[in-house]
Amino acid sequence: MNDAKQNPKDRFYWIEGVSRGEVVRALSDHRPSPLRRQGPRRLLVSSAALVMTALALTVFIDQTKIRTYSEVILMVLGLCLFAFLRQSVRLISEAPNELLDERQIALRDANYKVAYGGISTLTLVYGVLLSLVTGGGWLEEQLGDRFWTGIASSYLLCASSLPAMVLAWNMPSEPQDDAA
Amino acid sequence: MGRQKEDPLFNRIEPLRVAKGLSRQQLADAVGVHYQTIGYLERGEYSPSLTLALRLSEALGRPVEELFSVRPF
Repeated sequence: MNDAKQNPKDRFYWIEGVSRGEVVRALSDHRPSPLRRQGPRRLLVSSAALVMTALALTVFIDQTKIRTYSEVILMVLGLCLFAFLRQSVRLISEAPNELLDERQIALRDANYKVAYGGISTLTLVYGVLLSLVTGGGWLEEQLGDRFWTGIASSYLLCASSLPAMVLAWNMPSEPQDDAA
Repeated sequence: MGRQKEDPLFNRIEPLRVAKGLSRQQLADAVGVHYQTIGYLERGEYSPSLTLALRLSEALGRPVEELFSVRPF
């Protein structure tokens, strides 16, 4: 972790989707923020879950124009909430090991187990839906081409947000005086 | 961190740090962890690895058995 502070050269971690600089800034941010408390973080997680569910449900809107607008609005909202979620956990859910200390790695890994369980279940549900939609029958008639925009984007958003969502939900409130 | 509830580890990091005139941030920088981790350690909410315990012992200039104990000090 000290290496990150001493090395002025920024680096982007493509797999994690974060840069060294933004992780260091997020971890050393001493400014008070509601996102440091568990209550507001859980509210953020609930809002993200609600937006993702709503995005998946847009598939049932018949009017193309309304459906498209709803999808775009909900996708933008979902991406904004995803960005807030990442910041609320100080990017611990995404940061590579070399930028975290052993407590942060242990915390992240414990929550990864839950998150990846969730992603596996989500993938299974998505796979079943996909086979139903492409396999003919009532669901294919009802959804058809709409499947890829609503449900697929909700699935992708949910799968990428889950590690941050689980961590944000479980992480205790940060004590105020730790920097003293 | 689940193991913390089963096997509590008591420590004297805070009084020794204060006696040495170090802030949590300074001690954190000295041992290469985040400043919040020092807070979690001091409150007994996190048990350090052996490496971190030895680094803390070195930074505070005390043997590791003076810093940590499985029984209350």
